[in-house]
Amino acid sequence: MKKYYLALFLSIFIFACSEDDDIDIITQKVNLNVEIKHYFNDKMIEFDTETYLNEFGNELSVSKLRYLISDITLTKKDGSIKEFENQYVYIDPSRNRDTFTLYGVDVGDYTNITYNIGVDSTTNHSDPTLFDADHPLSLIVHNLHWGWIDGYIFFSLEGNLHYMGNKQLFTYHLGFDRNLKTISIDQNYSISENNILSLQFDLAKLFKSPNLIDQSNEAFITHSVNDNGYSDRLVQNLEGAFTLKGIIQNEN
Amino acid sequence: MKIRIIFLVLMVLSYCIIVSCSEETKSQEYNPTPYELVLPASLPKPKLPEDNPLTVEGIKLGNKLFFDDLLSGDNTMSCSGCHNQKHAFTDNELALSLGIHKEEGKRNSMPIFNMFYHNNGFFWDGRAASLREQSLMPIQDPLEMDETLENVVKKLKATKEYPQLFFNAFGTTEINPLRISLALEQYMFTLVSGNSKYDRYQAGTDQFTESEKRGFDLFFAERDPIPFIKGGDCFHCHSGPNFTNNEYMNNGLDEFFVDLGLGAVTKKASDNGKFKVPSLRNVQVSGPYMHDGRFKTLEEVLDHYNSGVVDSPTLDANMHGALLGLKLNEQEKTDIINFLKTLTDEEYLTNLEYKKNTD
Repeated sequence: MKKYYLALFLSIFIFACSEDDDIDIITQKVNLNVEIKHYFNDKMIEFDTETYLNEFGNELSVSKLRYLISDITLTKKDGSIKEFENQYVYIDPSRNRDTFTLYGVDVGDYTNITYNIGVDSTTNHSDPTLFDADHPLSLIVHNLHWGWIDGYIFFSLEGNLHYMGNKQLFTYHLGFDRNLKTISIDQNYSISENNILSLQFDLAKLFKSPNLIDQSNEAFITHSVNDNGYSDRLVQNLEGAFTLKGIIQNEN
Repeated sequence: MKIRIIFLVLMVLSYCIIVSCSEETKSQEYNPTPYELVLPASLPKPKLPEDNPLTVEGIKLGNKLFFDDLLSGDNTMSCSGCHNQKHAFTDNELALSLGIHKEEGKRNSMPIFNMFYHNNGFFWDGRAASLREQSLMPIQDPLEMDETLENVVKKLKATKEYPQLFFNAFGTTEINPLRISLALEQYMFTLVSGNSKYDRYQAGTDQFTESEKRGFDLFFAERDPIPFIKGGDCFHCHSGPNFTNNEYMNNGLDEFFVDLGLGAVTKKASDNGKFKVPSLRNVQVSGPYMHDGRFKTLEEVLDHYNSGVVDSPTLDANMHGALLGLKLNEQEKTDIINFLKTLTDEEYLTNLEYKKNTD
């Protein structure tokens, strides 16, 4: 009888050991939720109803803010990188479309997150009707597209400028291959189970730096051609508009 | 006496056999045939609701319901009364449809095709979140079919054929509003339009005339202020393979809103005067146009966008160019209309499968 107890005891010991080994040898993978919160300075953007003052002093309201994300890359502390090559994301906070999931992310310490606003040249000039109707690049999902030759609108901001009781509609449609913008954020963060990686987009920064923008003195409509470089200035400002707020614990 | 007893025994036996047989056949009978929605290459693969798989039996039931006058308060009007296939399932050139009391409804009857692409609500004001919810609303609208769902269920139950048709579709003879809406949803999902001249042109199997080609270019061209470049600016809203961005927008019809549209549903002033951007497929045959059917012809529609747009607090930013005037000449307007006519899909407008099932 004693023998059996011993065997039982040993087997428990062995099991316990092997579980420990799993953690050491195979890195645990999780599905990482990512959220992007959209602010104007310290206030969450209220679409259509709220007005904001930009750095130059223009008063504006926002009706639409939409963009495409691709080529998301996470860099680990050991220098290895995880790329999400075929993942495309369409963001539209006015319709609460501001989260996505990265599947199979290693648990551990990271030093950087990088992604593109827009899509690479090949994708940009491919046939958008080939995507399923619920694919982020399908034109059933959004209208960020100028046709096959010009490709996708990478980033779209629409709204009104307000001055002395008047309003002036504006539409900034940023795109074309030259305007593919890489956002690279160097910051340490650790990923474990049930985490949300929380990014923040601050619209005020789009008008602030490095190019201080006076909206009333720029094209009210730009589709990234013949606009005296306005779209390029906005794209330059895009990088600083994104920050990594950190990792938060998912309460669900 | 003996004969009587034998007769009685036989009766009981045969009754038992019949009951057991019919029960057996019933449990075997519910075997719906999956229906595969076949789409032309020009249309992307849709995502259909997983809780309502298309079946031949479900679609057949939906078809019967769609064309059945029993769904109205006085049994005189079916869905098809205001949704006629040859007008892309809109009303017969009426600005506002007449309900069973011969009173005008609030808004223009909307076309029915490619409904699986509508990912942002239904109706001009978006008050129905799903197609199944949509399907029950005209039945109950006092200005339309003016009937209670309770009565519809009662009337369908009293018929000879419906309990069996519901069984074939859903595995139960129990009729309820949800199953009515699921069947109508299934039937409407089968109405596909993707074989217009435009689709064939895109596939390289048909040719555009010079005018259609110019219209195509104008439709997809941005109107630029400096230097001035002509464009219709149509594609921002009438975008993608279904020629709609599925959004609710104010396209500059009125300075003051008689009908609040989306705003009446969301109770937000910033949504006032916004209406669903309709698909332009089959637009040639789905007039009159706008939510209130105010424009009889496509020429009137083009005139509106060319020089008739008025400002209001919720005017969409993409109407900026139109607000200043598109400055299209007569030929250019004609070209755009000729292009719009290439979106007419004769196959869809005449498809026998969509018609009232008579067997």
